[in-house]
Amino acid sequence: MARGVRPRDHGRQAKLTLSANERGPPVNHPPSPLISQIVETVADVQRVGAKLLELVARMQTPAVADALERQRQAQAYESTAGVLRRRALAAADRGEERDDLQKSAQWYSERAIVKRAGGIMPAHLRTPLERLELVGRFREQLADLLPLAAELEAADAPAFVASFLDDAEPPPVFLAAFPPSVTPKPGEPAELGAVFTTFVDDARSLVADLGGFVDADGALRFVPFGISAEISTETAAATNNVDGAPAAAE
Amino acid sequence: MIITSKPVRAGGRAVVWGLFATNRQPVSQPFVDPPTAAAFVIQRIDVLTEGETHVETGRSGHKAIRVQVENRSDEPAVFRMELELGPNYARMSRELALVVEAGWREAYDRAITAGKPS
Repeated sequence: MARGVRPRDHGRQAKLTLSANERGPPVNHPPSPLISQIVETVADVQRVGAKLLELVARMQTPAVADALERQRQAQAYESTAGVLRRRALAAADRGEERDDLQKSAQWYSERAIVKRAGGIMPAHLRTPLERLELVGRFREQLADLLPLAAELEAADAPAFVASFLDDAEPPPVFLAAFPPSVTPKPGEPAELGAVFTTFVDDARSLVADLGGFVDADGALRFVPFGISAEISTETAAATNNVDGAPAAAE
Repeated sequence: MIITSKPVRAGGRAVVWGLFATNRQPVSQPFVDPPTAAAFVIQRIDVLTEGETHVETGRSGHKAIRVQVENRSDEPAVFRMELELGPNYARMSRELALVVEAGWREAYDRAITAGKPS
C-alpha cells in the first residue's frame, strides 16, 4: 500500500526543484510575453464575437432574409436541373423525352442564375405565379403614383418642360431605357398636356381594372390574387389557394 | 400524411398536391381508401423536387407528390390518399437536443438549489 503524501513533502519538493526566479515574477512586474499573447488572443476572440453578433443582427433584416431565401431557392433549382440531366441520361434511348428533360434542366439552370443575381425573372423563365406577382407589383406602384397625379394639372406638364434650363433634347440614354412602344413622343407643349391628362386617366382606370379600389375609410385597397391549388401538407390536410405571398418553409 | 381534394364533380379531373419536408422520402406505395378507389382513377403520380415544387406551387422548402385523378363515378367525390413518409431525422435531432438540454438545465438547477445555504 502506497504511503500518502504529507504536506511537508510537497514543501520540500518545491524547495528542491524551484529556484527563486522560476517561481514567477512579483505582482507588480510586467506580464510575460506569453501572458500578453493570451490576453491579446482573448481580446481578438471577443472582437470576432462582437462582429458575429453584429452580423446576426443585420441578418434579421427582411432584405437579408430575402437574399438568403433567394440563394436557397437557387440551390434548389440547380439541384433540380441536376436531377433532370441525370434523367435525360437515363432516357437516352427515347429522343423526344431526353430533349424535353434537357430543356427543362436548362430552364431551371437559367432560373437559378437569375435567382442568385436577384433581378426580375425574364418572361421566358417566369412561372405562372411570378407573372401574377409582377402584375401585382405593377398595380401597386402605379397606384402609388395616383395621389401625386391627382395634385397635378394638365398645364403643369408643359410648364415643366418650358422650365428646362437647357434647350437640348432629352438625353438619348433616357429614351433608350424604354422599349419603343412606351417611349414618350416629343411633342408641342399643348400636346404634352393632353398626353399627360390621358395618361393619368388611363392609369386610374387601369388600377381599377387590376383590382384597386378605395374602401369606406378612404384607404386604397387591392383585390387579392393567387392561383388555385389543392395542397395538403404533413401537418394538415388542407385545401387552399396559393396567393402572391408564398408561405415560408417549415 | 393524408392528401385530400375538394369535392370533384362526376367525370371531373383534379390535380392534388401533397407537400412534405425536403429531408423526408415516401417509403411505400400510396394507399387510397375503398371509397376513393371505387370512385377515382389515378392518371399520373409525380414526385417533385424542391425546385419543381417551388415553381409549380410557389411554396419553398418542400418536396411534393403531385397526383392527377379523374372521378369516374356518378356523384361528386372527395379524393383521399395516404402517403407514408420516412422519419424526419433533422427534426428528431432537434427535438432530442431540446430534451437533453432541458435535462441538463434541470440537473443544474437542482445542483444550484441544493448547494444554497438554507
